[in-house]
Amino acid sequence: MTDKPPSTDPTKKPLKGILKKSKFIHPEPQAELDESIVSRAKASQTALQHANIIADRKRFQKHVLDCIIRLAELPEARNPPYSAEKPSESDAAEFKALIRAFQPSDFDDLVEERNVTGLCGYTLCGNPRLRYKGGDWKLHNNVIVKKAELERWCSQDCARRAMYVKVQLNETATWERAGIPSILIDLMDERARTDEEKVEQKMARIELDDRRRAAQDSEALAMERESTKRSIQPRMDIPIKEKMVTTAAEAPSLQEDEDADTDIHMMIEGHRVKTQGKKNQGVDGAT
Amino acid sequence: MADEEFSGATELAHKTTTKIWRVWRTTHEMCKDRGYEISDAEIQVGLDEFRRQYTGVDGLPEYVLPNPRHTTWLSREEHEDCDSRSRLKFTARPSDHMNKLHMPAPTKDTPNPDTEAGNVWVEFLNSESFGTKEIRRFIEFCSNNHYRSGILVSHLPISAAARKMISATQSFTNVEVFLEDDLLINITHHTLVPKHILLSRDEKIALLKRYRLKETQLPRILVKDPVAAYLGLKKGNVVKIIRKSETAGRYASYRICV
Ligand SMILES: [Zn+2]
Repeated sequence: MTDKPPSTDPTKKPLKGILKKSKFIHPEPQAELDESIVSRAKASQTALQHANIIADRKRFQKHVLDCIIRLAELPEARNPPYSAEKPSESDAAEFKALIRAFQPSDFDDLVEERNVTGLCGYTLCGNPRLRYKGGDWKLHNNVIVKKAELERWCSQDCARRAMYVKVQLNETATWERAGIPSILIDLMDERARTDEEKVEQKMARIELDDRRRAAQDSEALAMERESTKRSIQPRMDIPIKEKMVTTAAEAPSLQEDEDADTDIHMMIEGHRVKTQGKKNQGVDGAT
Repeated sequence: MADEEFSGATELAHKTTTKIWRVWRTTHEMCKDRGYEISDAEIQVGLDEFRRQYTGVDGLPEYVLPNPRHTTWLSREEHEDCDSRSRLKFTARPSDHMNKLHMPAPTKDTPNPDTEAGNVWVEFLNSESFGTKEIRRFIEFCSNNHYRSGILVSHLPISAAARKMISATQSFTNVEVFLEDDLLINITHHTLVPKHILLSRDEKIALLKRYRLKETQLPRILVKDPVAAYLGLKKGNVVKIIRKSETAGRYASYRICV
């Protein structure tokens, strides 16, 4: 088999092997200079891009931290008629807006932060958290539970409410999904309370124009895959060209040729491993 | 009955005072070992004197004094809740040696750079919770008063969000947090802990040159290693570790902080 490129046309640049760097073997020095300037500019551009990405990540982490600090202070409305079950509109809206950027681990940090100040871990609950006396373990509903786990909440209802939110959070890092419009967090108590409300909710959802939703979905997906301008621009242009084939196409075969080189891939340090089929052939050849 | 409660509370208070006194001393030793100007007299404060200086009039810590709201003496939980560490704070200046140790590399714009060492502010956490609120107050205090670094000694573990806050502001104000329990004894005084000495930038360059090493080829020490934390090492710092060997006398090895 020959690998010779079809360089019959002299005006065309010769095709290069994949292991060689084109700029080092370029025949014209002027072009070489140009190319090295271009590649240097590209390198610095890449470095800048990466620095920007890191700066972006830091900004998002800072943002999440600010959200934790803010959410640790909620709810604003702590007195009746408001409660964890029926929070005020503004508290619930703020909670849902800020929690979107969170990963489950950030959510745990938030719970811890609220507990530090003595509050129930669920953001929309203004009650103090439970405190038990005594050892590290507690009997709860005939199950032995870690005391610290129970003490994170004011009640088991709040524990459930918090879990309901936590399971909706995305594991992917904040900076990879920032701005994805489809992340909406539901609260447990918002699950439609009556059938009428249920229908209403459904109607509202159907109203969303199907086409618009499809566009949103694909945009969200694209963003998740880091392909929009926001996250990463193409780092380098890597043109992929197909190599011209001059010889006639040949079907691959398992048959060994007379030439030993063709089954060189079967050799291990110069020694040919004898498989069943080969052994027979070898015997044939010897006789 | 009241007498019994009183003596119980007193005993506990004295125990707490003894504990804090030891932490106080280790904190001073730590600052001295980092190169701050701390006199021996400041380190060798006796327990009695410490009690006189930092606790209430009767030699009893402030927090054991009867609370006006209560008719009896405070219970165990209550006086742990009280303000007891408010007087425990100090500041220290870097010594000349420390200034030299933390000299950054000269650049074209600044051929004679200023040292990166600066005054340190040390405080004991005086609150019953340790979250973002407390750490934000401490960071703001340090930066408003132009302290290059701040050390907060705490009797409570720090919350995760507060820890993230420290690393988010690390580039402006260098804040470190220590647990009281970790400073009860000075780990570097233990016979099995070899002596660690921080190298200056020039010394580090000379070392790498001499052995023709890249930074990555040096053995490592983690930032969170207790001795590294004690010395306040940063990523990229190199320490010389001097061990005593029965067969080889003293020998030195080097580690880079990662
Ligand atoms: Zn609650």
